[in-house]
Amino acid sequence: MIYFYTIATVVVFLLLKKLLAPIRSPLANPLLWSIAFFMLLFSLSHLNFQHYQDANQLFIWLLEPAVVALALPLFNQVTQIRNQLKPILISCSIGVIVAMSSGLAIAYAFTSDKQLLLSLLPKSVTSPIAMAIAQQTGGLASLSAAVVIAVGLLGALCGFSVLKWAKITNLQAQGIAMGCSAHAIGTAKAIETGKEQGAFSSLALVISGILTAVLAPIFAMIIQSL
Amino acid sequence: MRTACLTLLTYLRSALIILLFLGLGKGITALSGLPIPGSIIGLLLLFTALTLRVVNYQTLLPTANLLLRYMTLFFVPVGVGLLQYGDLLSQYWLAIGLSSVIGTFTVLLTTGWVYQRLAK
Repeated sequence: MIYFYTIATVVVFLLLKKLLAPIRSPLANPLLWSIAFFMLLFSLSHLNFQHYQDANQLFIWLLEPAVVALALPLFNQVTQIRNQLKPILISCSIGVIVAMSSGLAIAYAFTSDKQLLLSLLPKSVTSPIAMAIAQQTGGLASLSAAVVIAVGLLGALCGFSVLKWAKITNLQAQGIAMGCSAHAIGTAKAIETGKEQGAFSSLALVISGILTAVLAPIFAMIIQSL
Repeated sequence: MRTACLTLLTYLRSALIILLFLGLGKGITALSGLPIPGSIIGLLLLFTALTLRVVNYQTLLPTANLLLRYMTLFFVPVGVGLLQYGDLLSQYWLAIGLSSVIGTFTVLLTTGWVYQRLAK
């Protein structure tokens, strides 16, 4: 009975994907509406949400091998990556520093709650890295995970439109921007959008994740001294 | 029947290789205590193995393509899981919301812009 929810997730997602396919708007996103559907369902009914989570452990578990499989699009673009190694490293480093300092500065304008500030620090990296960083620096891992998912959805939803609006038309630049700002959820979107964007987004996901893990303790020290 | 069996085997083989690299990555994370998830280490190891031609690209394709094509689907339960954090998020919604939205777009535009400038 519990696996009804696993099948429901697949059916709702595929159905929405088919329904939304002809609509050319970034808001016509099957991920967004699948999440909205189930959130509404569990908010409005007395169905047990925990059963849904238990039934869908499979998908959460499948995310790990999917991340490993990102090695393939990366390998596909290995010559382009080798040719652009310097711009890749520079833009990702700047992205990581901007990610942590901008989030910190804005949040600090509203609150000086150190635990909250520490939890917001890793918001642009994939949730397992973010949770590990939060644990290490003294933030709330669950809050970090929640913010990470929200940020990823936002990036996947509006990222490409914002990039087009800002005339960032270079496909590699689009990929790097998605991977740096919206981690794995943005990368999943980039893979759907195009080969080059997908590969460069995977690359940015890896580089920014590692750089954030390395630099987060320094930012944590700044927060502690505020 | 024979071809069906062979197809199944190619999926099985590629799935096993991917799981092997995931396991290796997780082992390294556990042993080293690095705050980097095993899946990311696994990705790096698999990429290295592909570059060194230890693993064949074509061999991996069946399972890898399947995983990558449906990766967005796997995020549905993760997103629905946000329901659990409703209280936490609503308590600090302004600080969290603004820093997330402005922060995300700032990162998106700076990285994209810097890369586009440097790559030309």
